[in-house]
Amino acid sequence: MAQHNGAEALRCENVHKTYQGGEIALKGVSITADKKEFVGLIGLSGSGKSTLLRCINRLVEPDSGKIFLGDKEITSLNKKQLKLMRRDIGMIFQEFNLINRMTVLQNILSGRLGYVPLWRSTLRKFADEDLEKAVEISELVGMKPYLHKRADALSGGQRQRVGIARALIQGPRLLLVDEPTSSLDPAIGRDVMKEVRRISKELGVPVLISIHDVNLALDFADRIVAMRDGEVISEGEAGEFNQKRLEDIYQYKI
Amino acid sequence: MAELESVIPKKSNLKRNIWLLAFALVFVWSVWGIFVVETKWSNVGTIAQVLRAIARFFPPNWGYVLELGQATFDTFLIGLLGTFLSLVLSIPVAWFAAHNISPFVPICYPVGRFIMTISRSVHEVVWALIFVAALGLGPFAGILALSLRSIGFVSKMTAEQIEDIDYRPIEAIRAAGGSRIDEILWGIIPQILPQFIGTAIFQWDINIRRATIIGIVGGGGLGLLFSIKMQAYQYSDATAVLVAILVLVLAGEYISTKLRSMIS
Amino acid sequence: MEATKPTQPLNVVEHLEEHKKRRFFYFLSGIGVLILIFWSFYYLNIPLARFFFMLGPIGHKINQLFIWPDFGYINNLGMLQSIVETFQMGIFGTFVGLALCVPLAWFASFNMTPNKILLYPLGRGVIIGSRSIYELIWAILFTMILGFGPLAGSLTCVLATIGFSGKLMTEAVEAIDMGPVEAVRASGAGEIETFFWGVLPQVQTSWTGIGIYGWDSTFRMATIMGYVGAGGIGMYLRETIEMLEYEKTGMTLLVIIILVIISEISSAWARNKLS
Repeated sequence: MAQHNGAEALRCENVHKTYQGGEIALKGVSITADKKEFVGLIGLSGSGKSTLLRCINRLVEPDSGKIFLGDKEITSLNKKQLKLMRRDIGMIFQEFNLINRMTVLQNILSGRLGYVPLWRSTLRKFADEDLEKAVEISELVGMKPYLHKRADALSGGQRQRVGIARALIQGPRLLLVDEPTSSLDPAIGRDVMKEVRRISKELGVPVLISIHDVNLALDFADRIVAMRDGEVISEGEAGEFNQKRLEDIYQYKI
Repeated sequence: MAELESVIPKKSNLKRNIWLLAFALVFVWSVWGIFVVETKWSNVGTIAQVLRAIARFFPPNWGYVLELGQATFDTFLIGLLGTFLSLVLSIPVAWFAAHNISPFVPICYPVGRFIMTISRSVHEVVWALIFVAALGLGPFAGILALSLRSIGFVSKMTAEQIEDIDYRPIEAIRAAGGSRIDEILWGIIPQILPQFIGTAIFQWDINIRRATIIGIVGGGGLGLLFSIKMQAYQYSDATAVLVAILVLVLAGEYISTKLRSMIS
Repeated sequence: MEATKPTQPLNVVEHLEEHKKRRFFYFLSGIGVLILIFWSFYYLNIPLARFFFMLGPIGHKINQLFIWPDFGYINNLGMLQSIVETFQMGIFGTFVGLALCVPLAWFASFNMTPNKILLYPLGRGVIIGSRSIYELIWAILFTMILGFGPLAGSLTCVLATIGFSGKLMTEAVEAIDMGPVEAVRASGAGEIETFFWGVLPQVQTSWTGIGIYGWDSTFRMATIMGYVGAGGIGMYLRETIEMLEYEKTGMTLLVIIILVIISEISSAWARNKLS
């Protein structure tokens, strides 16, 4: 890992996680992501991709191992520091995780919750600059015309765009993306991937994306990390992954 | 025949018949107790006397419509305010008694459940008696009685709705660095608000009905008017009160049904 | 899911104004509700200040009612008899009420009613009447007509059961699957046979559940019926309050709460047993 020295944005070292039921999700995973890098996590469902993502912002508490964002160790933060750290890590979800009864604008603004004081979040009154930023970002993801629609009136692809906007308004230094396409039609999923890649390159934010669709991963990711049974079994540039290597990963003829 | 019995087993019938017999005996015992032991039929009088007693209530006297309207409006307001107060009081109870957000489960959860049980087990008339004793006669005792009686139902429904919420938006709020209060304000409240309003309307409908009775023990409104008229032997006036109650309750039921169908 | 139509393009400032306009609207409605509530308090002549003074007396009263109930008070024959009487009223009311509910719910259901002109309004009328006029008012009327005692109370319990269970049972009938009903009709059955073979099997389970809930509510009713002289333990509430013997009131309340909890436990047991 020495070759990434200085340039790496995210570093996970030997992360372990066993769930309460005794199910072992991660068996010592170590990965890195460079600044501006778009890393695709591939593997069958149950291989630990989602758990790894959630360990990074500690939605799931890892049992052991260290995780660094820049030079800050996430795994050693206390509760308050963790909240502040989470503002720097945007997350995009498989099922969008929007607040259905709120408008698109309010959903985007909910990404600012880590920044605003309690009285503002209680009264849902945000500063003008937050509002302006929300409108700006909605334009970036093409949702500006729908700002005052309720989230449950949108199509799946539109909802995912709101999810992206919500992650972006945090001003993240890292984007965690969990299966963004599997609740969407294939064509729309491809659009969303294109969008995530474009924005990450535009803003210079590294992306760690879990995705079970190998073709999408190969088309969009700079680098691929393949997981199986809670372990990293293969990693390299997207171009290095040929048919044979993929078949080994999936233990299956493609 | 033997073949038939092997297909249709007879065993369960015996147990059922024992239960039925037990129920029948208990019922007969009750009838015997009420009609034979406790009722002095000479006091009830002949059918003609009973009919005459009924006839005293007719025709209703509409001579005091203004007073009646005033009492109806009072009852309406008592029901409304009692419901409103119960909603406010139910929020902390529901918060304590919802397993997933209860601030400290080992203590708060049983406390919340206990408040629910007491609120529901004590009849509204008993609640009213307590508050009339503490506050004196008047609508305020009625409002407090209604609200205490309603906490149980409202907070139980709300706690169940909170326990059934969708966790995905909350995960997103947590991932964005939101606090626990943000999770409640942004993740939970928007999800349960429509159901909460539905519960509130349903409870309001019931409370209008209850408000009519609270007055009898001193809570004001139509109930008070009714008991005054009955004590003054003005039976035809009392009938008018009954009609007013009927109209108020049916109107409340109609409005609440309409409102609830508007929400869903 | 269909995509929504975009609203007309707005610039940033217009978006913010739209957002603020909405917030202002919510703010105004909140203020409106508050004004309404304070006006209602004012209109009903409620001295809110008294509320805070109440905390003193109510603590005192509760102290009298609950901290030192006169436990010995239960040890008198009248009280024990009235407990038995309360049970008898509740049982009689529930049984007769439920028995009457069977035809009434049948008559009052719009899909199965055997006669739309006569029986339908009859069923609806009885159920709505028992629901809308509060049970205690019925109790007062019955005591006026039939004299004081458990006879008035048990009739009230019948009406209470009809009011509570009748509507729910009607709704259960209205929710049935009409397929079996048509099949029974097609085989040439009359209205009564259709009810027994097409309707009853479908609503059996939900009616049993409603019946058990009906017992809960009717029994709770029976415990306070005596307050207006219609029999049962409620009589002691009035008596002790009028005599200002709050220790005894406290004991009576305690007994009532225990009785209600016993009845709720037994009905929960029955529900469990059936399901």
